[in-house]
Amino acid sequence: MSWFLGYSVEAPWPEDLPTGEILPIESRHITTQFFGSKKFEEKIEKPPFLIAPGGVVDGVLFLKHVVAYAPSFFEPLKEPPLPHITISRTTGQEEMWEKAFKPFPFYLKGFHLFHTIGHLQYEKVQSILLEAPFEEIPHTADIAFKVKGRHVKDLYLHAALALSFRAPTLCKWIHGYIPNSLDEVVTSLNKLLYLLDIEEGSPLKAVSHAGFVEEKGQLLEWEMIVDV
Amino acid sequence: MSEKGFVTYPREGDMLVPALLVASHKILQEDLSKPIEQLKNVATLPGIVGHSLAMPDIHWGYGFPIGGVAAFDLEHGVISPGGVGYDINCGVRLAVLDRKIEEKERERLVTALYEEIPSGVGRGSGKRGEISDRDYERLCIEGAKFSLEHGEAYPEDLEATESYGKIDGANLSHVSNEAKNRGRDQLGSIGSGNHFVEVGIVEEVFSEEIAKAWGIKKGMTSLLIHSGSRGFGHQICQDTLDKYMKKGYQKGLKDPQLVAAPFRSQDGQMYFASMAAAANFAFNNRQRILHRARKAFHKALGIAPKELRMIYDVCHNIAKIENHGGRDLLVHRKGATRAFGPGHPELASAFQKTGQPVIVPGDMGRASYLLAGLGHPLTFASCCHGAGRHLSRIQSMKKWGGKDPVAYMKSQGVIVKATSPRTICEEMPDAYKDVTTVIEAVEEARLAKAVVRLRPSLVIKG
Repeated sequence: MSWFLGYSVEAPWPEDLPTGEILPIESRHITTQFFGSKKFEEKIEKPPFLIAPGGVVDGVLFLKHVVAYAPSFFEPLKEPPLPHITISRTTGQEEMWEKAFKPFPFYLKGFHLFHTIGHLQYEKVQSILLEAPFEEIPHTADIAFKVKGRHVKDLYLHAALALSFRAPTLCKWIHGYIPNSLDEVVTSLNKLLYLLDIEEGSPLKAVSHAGFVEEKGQLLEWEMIVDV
Repeated sequence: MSEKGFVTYPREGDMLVPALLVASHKILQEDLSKPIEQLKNVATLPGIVGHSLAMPDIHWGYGFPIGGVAAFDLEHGVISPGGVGYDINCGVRLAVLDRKIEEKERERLVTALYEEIPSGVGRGSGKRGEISDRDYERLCIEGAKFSLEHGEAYPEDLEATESYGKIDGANLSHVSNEAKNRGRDQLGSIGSGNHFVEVGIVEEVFSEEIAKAWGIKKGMTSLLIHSGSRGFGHQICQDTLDKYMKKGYQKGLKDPQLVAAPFRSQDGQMYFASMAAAANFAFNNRQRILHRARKAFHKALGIAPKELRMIYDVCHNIAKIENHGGRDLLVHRKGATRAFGPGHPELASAFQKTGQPVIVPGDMGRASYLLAGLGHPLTFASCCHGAGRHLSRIQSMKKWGGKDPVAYMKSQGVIVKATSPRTICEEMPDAYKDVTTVIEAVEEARLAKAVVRLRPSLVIKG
């Protein structure tokens, strides 16, 4: 039994995985600090993010005892220096993992004090939920997302993340493009949808020039409407 | 005073004309505040004629409400991509077969349809090498007629298609390569979202006389195809919106989503020509899907292709030049169907006495309707296009995710196949309002007359 601090991860997790000791979705995490069997009794502190960091899982790592996903953050985290998300405790199937892998988007869901309870299960002893970069909201005809960010660049990245959760292939084209306005954000997102439609067909057809950017405290919010 | 079945919203503020909603007492119980605000906004657009209109399946859309109809003066009016919708010439096609599909034949048929007709985000039949650039351009000019020359249509199919399957004035010279690329691979496919191919049964006949004139009897098999211009139309819409926004056409409008160019301006004409190309792509797309469905019926059940006889094909996202009251107007229908009445000169001889067939799909569990247009002058001869959603996609997903919607539908007598399990959850019958309520409102306002009701049996979703 051991104790550690880390982040839970939200992602459209790939389903066709090589067989083995696969970690259940609710157990997948990024460890930031490991305490071993020494019990951590302090109150955990809120991480210094206004909004949950996210990015693209763009590779598989074959570590000593585990297979792990390698997340690339839009803005690299200070801790841990080499983040990874353990996915399997069965090693030795490198070729199958490489073959099965396709990039997918993610964001950090919460910060927790974890306690191992065995059988690849972890108990969240303390939790601080992070502000999600987007959320899907009801729309009568199309689909809509509330996208949040500190600035217009964030709105682009988080909107692209939202689209990628519906169509993961799209995340491979999200680059460090910096739009100057909401209209440029919409145009850039539509370019991503175009690339997706050409490559494999897209369930999302167009991001509309709808809505305004609203300031909510220190964050910007935009209601993105996507035609299906 | 409003006519029976209509609710009038008098001019206020910047409205140039009053707004008019086709609605029954039952429909008015819903919260329609957002789409009615959009309906009133449309009434402020330059050159609008008559009323800003909405059908009883009205719901919130991009700029214009879905279910909206607006006619504009050709010289002083505008053309608005938001008044057409992203999926240009999204529409419905109905064919019938004079025999029942037996219980033991159902699985075989649904499998053949699923194999033959690309659905979901998958590919169609227009890949490079399969269709030349020249032919691609021709089909965007000629629409369904292109399929006639290539053995994928019968002359009767074109007679039974709105505008004979072709909108005049199409031109590809201002269509981007992105639009052409998106469309090419998707030709002949249904697409995702609410698009479908559905085999059903003629469950009830309301007008024996009109049904007889159209050769429809109770117990016949029906085939409904709902699809549009796929990525081609979406990209044309998006390209135009980007251009119009960049040029500032939205300035001074009540809502920037209404962005519109003067119809007679170069930008207005360029969109009209590109939109017509997308409309023709869509006519051709539905014709190709019908051709593939005919192949599937033949493959699975040995039914000769010609036995699957077309009743009609309607557009429900389009802007067209039509003559109303002796005046040529640009009529936008977004989630609304043309419903010409008896004697309209544009209709083929088979529909001269009856009025135009109007196809109104409901949901995949309850019913769809076939009506006959009455050409109501207040609505520029328009009618509804569907049931309208009751639940958003995310609400429906939350309700059905984790359950087995396919098994549920089977227990209700409907076999459903789809590329994406999520689509089935989003498209479950309870995500939609009851289409019968919409039809009652349409009949009360005398926009169209119910002819038959169709009950779904086999459904292919995207």
